[in-house]
Amino acid sequence: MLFGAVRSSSACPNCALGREARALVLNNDFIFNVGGALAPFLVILAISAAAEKLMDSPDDVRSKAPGPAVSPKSAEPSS
Amino acid sequence: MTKMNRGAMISAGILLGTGLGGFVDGILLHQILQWHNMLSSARPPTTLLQMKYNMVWDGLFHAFTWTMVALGLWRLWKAGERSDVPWSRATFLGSLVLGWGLFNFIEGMIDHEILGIHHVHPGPGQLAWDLGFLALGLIQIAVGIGWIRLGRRDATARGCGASTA
Repeated sequence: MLFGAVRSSSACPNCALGREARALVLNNDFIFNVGGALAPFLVILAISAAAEKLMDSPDDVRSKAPGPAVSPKSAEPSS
Repeated sequence: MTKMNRGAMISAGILLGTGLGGFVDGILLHQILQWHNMLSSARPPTTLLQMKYNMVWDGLFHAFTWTMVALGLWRLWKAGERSDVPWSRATFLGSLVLGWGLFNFIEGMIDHEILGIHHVHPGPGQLAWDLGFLALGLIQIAVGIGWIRLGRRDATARGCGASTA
């Protein structure tokens, strides 16, 4: 029991090493590093948005209304 | 005959392909093979502290890839609600491959070549590994675009002509 308590108090997430690692993340060029990690995803988000606009060019537009062109309800005879 | 709008499907596929490709990178190259970590060139994981430091950054990387998958699922759901978006297998699969290729190429350019925060396989010949990764990305982009073009004649929206439960 005592051994378990000692072990759990020194285990992560509260261990000194874990705290030191997380502090290092925040205090060591965090903005630069997070920018580097995030940049590829932001570029691809922009490409994805551009691709959607490009492929939905005015020439291609038939209808942007949500739902099927002929909805099942409207096809059914009204009672 | 009026064309349909494939943009929403392609956009969803690109986002999903990026996220899934990012997970392949993170799970296979970071964790299983342990070739590199997010900042392993800046702080090589040679001590437990440096390893845990890189582990946090790998976690942030996975959080970003998860976000891309979530965004892609949302876009795919919205595309499925529209009657003017063809539910094309070729368009979707091509977009997935395109997204994966875009991830490999753009992440390779930014993180490996420009910032140098990590490399595919650090050590002797790391430039060859990095260039191979970029080449793989370009091949995937070409295959993805070709596959998307194959689906351009598909014109059936989701659920049309298929049995529904």
